[in-house]
Amino acid sequence: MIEAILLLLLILLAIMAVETQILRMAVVFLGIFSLLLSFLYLFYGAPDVAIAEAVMASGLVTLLYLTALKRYRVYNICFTNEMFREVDDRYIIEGTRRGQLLREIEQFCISKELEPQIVCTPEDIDTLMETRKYDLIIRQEGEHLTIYGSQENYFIDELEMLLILRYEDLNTRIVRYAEDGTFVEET
Amino acid sequence: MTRESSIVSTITGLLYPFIIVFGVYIILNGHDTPGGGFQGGAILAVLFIGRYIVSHTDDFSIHQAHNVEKALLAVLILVPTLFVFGAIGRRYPQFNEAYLVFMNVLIGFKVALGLTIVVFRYAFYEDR
Repeated sequence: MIEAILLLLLILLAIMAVETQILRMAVVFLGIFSLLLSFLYLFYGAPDVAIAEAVMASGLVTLLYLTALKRYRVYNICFTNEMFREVDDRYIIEGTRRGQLLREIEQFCISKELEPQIVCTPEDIDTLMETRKYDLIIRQEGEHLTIYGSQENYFIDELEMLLILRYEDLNTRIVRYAEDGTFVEET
Repeated sequence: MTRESSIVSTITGLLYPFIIVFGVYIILNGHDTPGGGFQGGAILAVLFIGRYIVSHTDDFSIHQAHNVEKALLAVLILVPTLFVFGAIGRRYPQFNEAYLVFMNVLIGFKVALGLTIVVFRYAFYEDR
């Protein structure tokens, strides 16, 4: 009976650790998973392995994962331009403002201990929204800049503050989207 | 975890003696109860790592720990070699248990130092 409950809980925790959106919660689920696994080892009559599992997998590995999460967080930024295919070289060289904005965002990411990863694509915004690979999508249409970010991403609020403080004159608009892809109206 | 929490540091301070006693117990009784050098050493490593996690101290000398660990490795190879090739186990059977306990203690300290070095190197030098 206890064995069956423990085994079912193991499967449940493994699925939860895989399916959760937040990495930190996945680490905590893995820690509980290891602790239950060590109980199970004890139940099967292997106390030696149980001690090793409880100390290593449940304690040290959780600590290591948490330290790693604190150190290394990738932030995917996508830069898209509607006129990407038609631009000539002059535009790219001259586009200092775009470069400066991207550099600014990059610096901001580094100050927040995030790993910025910037990709420039000519793809359409709808395609990008479908793939959902990027944390932040910056879209340029002539003089207008639109920044798309997830609603749950609290990073975007700080970015908005930075943009308002630094670039009052720039035509930026920040759009948040919900989990299912619908845009949230700005208040 | 940037600020020091007084609750966490007080509780960790209260737990230290228990962690030490538990780790040493597991090492010393490893030859006839579950446990042994590796498990006890891992518990002792939690002591240093927990201290780093709680108070972010950086007064731990990794270089010195490395040297001590290398010396322990040399002793760890030397002692079984002498014991086996000197046939001490056969000539003095009363030393067998002492030999096991001594080896467990050596392995325990080596594992504790090794795991501590791994985590500290990771925390200090893998900075991005």
